[in-house]
This record gives sequence, C-alpha cells and structure tokens, in this order.
Amino acid sequence: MFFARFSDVILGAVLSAGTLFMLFVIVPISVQVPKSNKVLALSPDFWIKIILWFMLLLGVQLLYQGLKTAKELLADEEIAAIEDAKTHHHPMGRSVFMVMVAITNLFVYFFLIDWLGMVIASIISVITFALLCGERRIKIILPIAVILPIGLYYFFLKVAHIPMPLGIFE
Amino acid sequence: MVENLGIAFQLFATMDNVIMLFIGVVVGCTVGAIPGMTATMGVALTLPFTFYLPPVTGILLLIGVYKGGIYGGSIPAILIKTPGTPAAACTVLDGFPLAQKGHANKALHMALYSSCFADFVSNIALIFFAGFIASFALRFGPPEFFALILFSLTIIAGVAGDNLARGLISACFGLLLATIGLDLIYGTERMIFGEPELMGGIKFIPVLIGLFALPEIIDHYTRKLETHKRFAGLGDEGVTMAEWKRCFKSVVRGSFIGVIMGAIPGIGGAPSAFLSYSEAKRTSKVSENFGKGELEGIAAAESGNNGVCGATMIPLLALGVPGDVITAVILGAFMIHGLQPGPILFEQNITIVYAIFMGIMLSSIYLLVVGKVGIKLFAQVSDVPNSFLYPIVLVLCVFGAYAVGNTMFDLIVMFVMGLVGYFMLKFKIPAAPFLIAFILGPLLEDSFRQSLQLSRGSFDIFVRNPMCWVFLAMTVISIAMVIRRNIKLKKDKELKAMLLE
Repeated sequence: MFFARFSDVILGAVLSAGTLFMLFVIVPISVQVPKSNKVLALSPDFWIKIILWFMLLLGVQLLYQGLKTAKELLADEEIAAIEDAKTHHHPMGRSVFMVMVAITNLFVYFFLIDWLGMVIASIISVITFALLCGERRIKIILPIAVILPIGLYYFFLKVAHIPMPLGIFE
Repeated sequence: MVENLGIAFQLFATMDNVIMLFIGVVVGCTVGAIPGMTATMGVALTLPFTFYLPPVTGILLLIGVYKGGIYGGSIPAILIKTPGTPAAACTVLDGFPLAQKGHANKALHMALYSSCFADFVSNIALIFFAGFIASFALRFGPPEFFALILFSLTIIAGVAGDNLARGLISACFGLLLATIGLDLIYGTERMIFGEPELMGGIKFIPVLIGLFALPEIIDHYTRKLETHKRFAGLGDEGVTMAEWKRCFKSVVRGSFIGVIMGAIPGIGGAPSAFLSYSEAKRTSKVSENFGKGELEGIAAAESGNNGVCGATMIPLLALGVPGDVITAVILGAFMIHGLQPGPILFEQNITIVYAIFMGIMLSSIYLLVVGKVGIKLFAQVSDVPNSFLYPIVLVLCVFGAYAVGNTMFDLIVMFVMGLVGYFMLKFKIPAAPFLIAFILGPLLEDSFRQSLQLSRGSFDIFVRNPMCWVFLAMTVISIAMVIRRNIKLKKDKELKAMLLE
C-alpha cells in the first residue's frame, strides 16, 4: 500500500535528483565539446541537455503530482490492482528476497560463463532457475537443461559460425 | 518493373526462404499460444538467429514469428481465458464462453479463418500503399525527415498506456541511452567513460532482450506457485460454411478497421480488435449473444487484430517509421542486416522489398496451413508451465545477446537492462516507448543536425518547406489530442470519485 501511494513521489524525487546529477556532473565530465563548435545546436551535448531538461521537468511534475495525491484515497482500480498483486505475489519481504536471489543468480550465471563456458553455465543455471521457480520434476528439468544449451551451442557454432565461450574447457 | 519482379522472385524463391518463413510461423504460433510470452518476446528472441541468414531470409523469419504470434495469442484466450498477446484480449469475450460450451474447436477455427483473411487483406494494403508513400517520401530531405520522426515519436503516446508522464520518462531514457557513443559530426566521446565497447553506441539486441524478456523472468520469482489452468477439451465441430457466411461481413469490416488502424503509428492490435468487436456488436442481428459465446464476436475481434499486421509495416517500409513495438524490433533487424527501411530502400533495394512482399503473401497461406494442422498441438502448448518456460527463455536470451558481437560486454548490457526493465515494471513505466525512442533517437538527432549544418545553424530550415509544416502541424495536433484525452480521463476519474462520495 505504501509503495502504491508513494510511487509517484519516489520516482519523481529519484528522477529529478538523477537528472540534476547527470546535467551538472556526468555530462560536463563525459561529453567532449570541441572548441571549434560555434553553433550551439550542433554541439555534441546539445541534444543530451535538451533530453535531460525535459526529464527534469517530468520528474518535478511527477513529484508535485505525487505529493498532491499521496494523501488522497486510492482509486478503486488501484486498490483492485494491489489486491490482485497480493493474490498472485509473495508478501513484500519474501518478494524482495526472491528478487535479490534472482538478480544474484543472473550475475552468478554471468561469472560462470566466464569460468566454465556457455554450455556448462547454462546447464547449471537452467536447473537452478527451474528449482527456484518451484519446479520439482527433475526428470523433465534435466533433459531440457542438457539438450537446450548443447543444441544452441552447436547451432551457433556450426550453422551461424559464432563460437561460444567454453571457459576453462577452451 | 517486370525485370525487378523477376529478380525479386529469384531472390525470394529459395528453399531457405520458404522453410524459414514456415519455421517463423510455427515458432510464432507456439510463442503466441504460451500465456506469458508475447509476440514481441518471440521476435526479440528469434532476432539473434537471423544474423547468419541473408537479409530477406532473416526478415521473413521474423515476419513469420510476428504473424504467427498475433494469431497464436487467440489460442489460450479461447481455451483458458488468458490472452497469449495483449491484442487477443478481445477474443476472450466470446472465445472462452464458446469453449466452455464445448465448442472450442469451432472457436479456434473461426479465429484462424478470420485471422488469415484479415492478414491477407492487410498484406494487399501493404503492397499497394507502401510503394506509393515511399515514392512520395523520396523527395524528403533532412528537415522533412526530422519533422516526420518528431511526429513519429508522438506514437509513444499510443504505447504509453494510461500514464503519459511515465511513457515520456521511458522515452527520455531511450533517447538518452541512444546518445552514448562517438559523436557523428565531431567524433568526440559522449558518455563513454573510456570503455572502447561503448564507442559504437549500445547495441540494440541486448537492450531489446534485456527490456522485454528478463523483467518477466525476474518478476516470476516474486509470484506464488499457481495451479495451472487446464482446458476442458477441444470438441469436434469445425466452422460450417453457413456460419462463415454469417460472420463474413464482420470479418471484412474488421479487416479494414485493422488496416486503417494499423497504418496509423502507435495504435496497435488491441484497440483495433475492440473497435471491430464493438462495430460488429452494434450492427449484428444477434447482438444480444455477444459476450456469451457468439462466433461473430470472435470473427470480429480476430480480424480486427490481425488486420493490423501487414498495415503496421506500411509506415515501416515506406518511411522507416515503426508503427508499434514489434515493427520497431523489425526495423532494428533491417538495420542489423545493413538495410535502412524508408524511401531509399525502395530506390536502392526494390528487389529486396518485392521479395519481402512475396514472402509476406506466402505467410498468410502458411498461417492457414500451420493453424489448421497444428490447432491441437498449439492447444497443448498453452499448458506449458512457466517454471519450465522461463529458464529456457533465459538461456535463449544469453545465447542471443552473446551472439550479437561475441563479447561478454553485451551480456552485461543485457543483464543491466533487465534490471532497469524490472524496476520500470515495478514503477509501471512502460518499456515500449523506451525501445521506440532508442531506435528513433539517433535518426532524429542526425536529421536535426544535418538540417542545421545545411542551414549553417539557422532554424528557419524547419519551416521553409510545406511538408515540414504538415508534419509539424500533425505533431502539434497529435500532442493536443493526447493532452485532451488525459484531461478527459482525469475529469472522468474525479467525477467517479465525487459520485462515489
């Protein structure tokens, strides 16, 4: 309920702060503007600044709108959406934990590719992801986990002529 | 013309093209039949498999997936009340009640026939109008293109959903991301931070896969395990000639509604299906049966949503402007294969365009054959649980993203975009405007700067030509309509709240 009520405020505040940081710190550091440029609109940072100012405007508008409506009662559709989310999703704490697990898994997958190669990393990841998704039929998971990455590896190697990394098996 | 058609036929009539298009339709129907997988996801995941293919073959494969995906969405809509694609949401209204009455087979066949008919009409419209519009657009210079792309960006309002501000934020992120890389005029660095991989800009496919596939996978972890919905059975009855004749008027009307709405950038299949459905209901002799399992309702909804397929390719091929998010992905595919859709494509690669047209016509026939033969099989596919599906999708994402440039950097981009996409999902920021802006952003900036170079920095160049005026006026009208719609929505909401009080 808190998230639904304050999502505009959070988004507006983060967007405004992030945009200001980009405008006054990131862009001056990372966008090189040649001294020879005489037309402002042709400058490499012109377009970026236009986008960022527009984003700032949107962020402020969202923040203002969020602060204005945060005290109001939620609309029927919003309450229905929250109820629907409660029915289909885990409670907040568990959801956050599961998202962290999913993100960690993605990065473990990435590092496994570097170490063990695409095929082995994919086999391990399919099994892990399926188990974490609640699937327990290992007799179905295992063949999929083995056949799919090997099939894709040979497709890209033999048909598309794109070699996939094999890590320590290289 | 005849000589070009001959060359195009040679280009098209290869075993590879015919087989790949067929595979595309099968893959599309399968993806569309799986609840939780969209046609966009299907096209995105197929895209890396086209790298090694010649341009025509690769694009036909994607078009096959697109068309199959849109039709396939009707299968779970009818069988388990879960539209496989957003465009199939309207099919649920009559499809599911008919399936509950034990006539699922009849409903699926009507959806197939109406989809194929509408698809065919849409393809004819594409062939007739794309060339005409492209020949007109050949006169466009950088200022006209700038005005046109600016107008095209207003399609973001159409794909932004209920909240325009969030849609615009999404588009700004896309535009901003597209500016990363070396500056095209001066060759200076823009937000590269010393990373050589970023010099050429961020690649399209890792962004696409990251935004459209990974957030769904991450979000799946937060969902409770649900009892899988199963359908009761198909039944034996097909559609009789009398039933087809009775629904034919609605199918034709729906096809034309689909063509008109598809040709306007940003509208898409779902509104077209609902408009076709409401028109059929308004004019039908059995309007009281609509919503209770009326065959004509399925015919109207499916013809409305499939009539869009060919027509959305009109602005794409003729002007280089994507009509919706799937055609934005196909635009990316053209670029990956070194082709730039638009009038120049018609001028320099007309044989490729004709070959694609031939393939598109064949895709309608394939859709009919594949749909007819595979109905029972696709019906089973809609039963595949997501706990199997998402790990498979993840592996396809990783292989696909890596194949773009043979570099781990693309995987990092994909994972990061996946996280960004997940937070966008949670904050209800739509991903479609991001992608459209990411694709159109560089075109907009290039045409803007080229125009200013031509005019030596004078902004007059954007109002010198009547065509610029037309596009700028259309942009203003389009924005005014969006603002008006939003004010109306807000007023309706306030009125509803007052009445409740």
